[in-house]
Amino acid sequence: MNTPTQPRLRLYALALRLYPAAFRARYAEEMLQTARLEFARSPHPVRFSAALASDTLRSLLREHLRAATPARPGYVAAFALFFTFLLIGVSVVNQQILRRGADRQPAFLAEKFTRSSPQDPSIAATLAAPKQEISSPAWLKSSSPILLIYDAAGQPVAGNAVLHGTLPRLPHGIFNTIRDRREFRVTWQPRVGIRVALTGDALPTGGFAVAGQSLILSESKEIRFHSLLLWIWAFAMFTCASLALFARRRTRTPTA
Amino acid sequence: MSTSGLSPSDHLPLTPAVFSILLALADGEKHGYAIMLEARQHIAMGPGTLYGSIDRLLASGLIAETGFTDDERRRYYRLSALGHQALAAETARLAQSVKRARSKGVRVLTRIPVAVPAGTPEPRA
Repeated sequence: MNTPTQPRLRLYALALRLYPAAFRARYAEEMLQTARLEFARSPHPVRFSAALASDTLRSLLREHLRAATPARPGYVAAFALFFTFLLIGVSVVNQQILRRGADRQPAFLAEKFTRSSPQDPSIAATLAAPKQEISSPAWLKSSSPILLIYDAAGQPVAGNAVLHGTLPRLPHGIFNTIRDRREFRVTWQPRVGIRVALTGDALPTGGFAVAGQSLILSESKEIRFHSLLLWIWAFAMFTCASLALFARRRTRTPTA
Repeated sequence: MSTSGLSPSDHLPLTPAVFSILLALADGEKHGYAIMLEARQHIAMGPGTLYGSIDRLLASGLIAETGFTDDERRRYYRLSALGHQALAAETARLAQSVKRARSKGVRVLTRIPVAVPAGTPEPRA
């Protein structure tokens, strides 16, 4: 671009650098040439400069908005992708929070049993309480924790819960892991429809204290939350698609 | 993005600036400054507005670039087939409006006040 000698036009040449790069590269030279011709013909240079400044300001704003509008199909697609991954992230975090929340009560109970003596009144009361049936809908829908005591061989010794009438037997792998790590948290599914968050601690006597809580409650909260996220996602995608169509329509119908 | 496959009615109504630019090109190809001089008879327009509109019209396929002048500073533009159709459709639409206005007794002014920015030169006859 040839640098003009006239100060007003030199200022205009500087202002042209403020346009978006692609627009500037294509039109700056012609715009300066047009302004130069206009200026040469203008009977009122001051008024001409004011009109040129006003036109430049409005046009700058318009071109930058046009270059940066989020309604561009590429931006819309990128946003849709980002939003999808964001919601997946939110869903995973929520799932972890709920799952860890389901471990809290059993972990507290198992740890309490491990640190107290079996004669502790609260522990004795827990173990002496009427046994809860793990497969019953009432327990599955509750947040009431269970406590089970196993000997060193993994055989059930005592507990406040039964599965189909007998103290539940757990897979031996669970006890081996508890023995190695001293503590273990796992989801136990003895049959379809029964899902229990289990926490186990190794006892000083060589046995194991295992506490658990039904996961049905937290999983139904998770399902409700996922359904909410799905609606939010569908609404966002609908908005994105509308914006993309709107952007297409705007490129079809130019405005000054 | 070329949208020359669209019907002219998809572009209606045209804004006054776009109509003026298309009208300026109706009798043949012109460069930007010549378009501005002619369009200014209808509407106030500075270089920013002019080239912004030209860019949008090129993107929508209503006008096309024909080439450079010898000094390669001026690009020439012409109406595309779609541009011709859109201009004709808009003219028909405006004519309908004028007809309706007349049928309702609206008086036609003998002198049209044009909002030309202060300080801009008068177009040559």
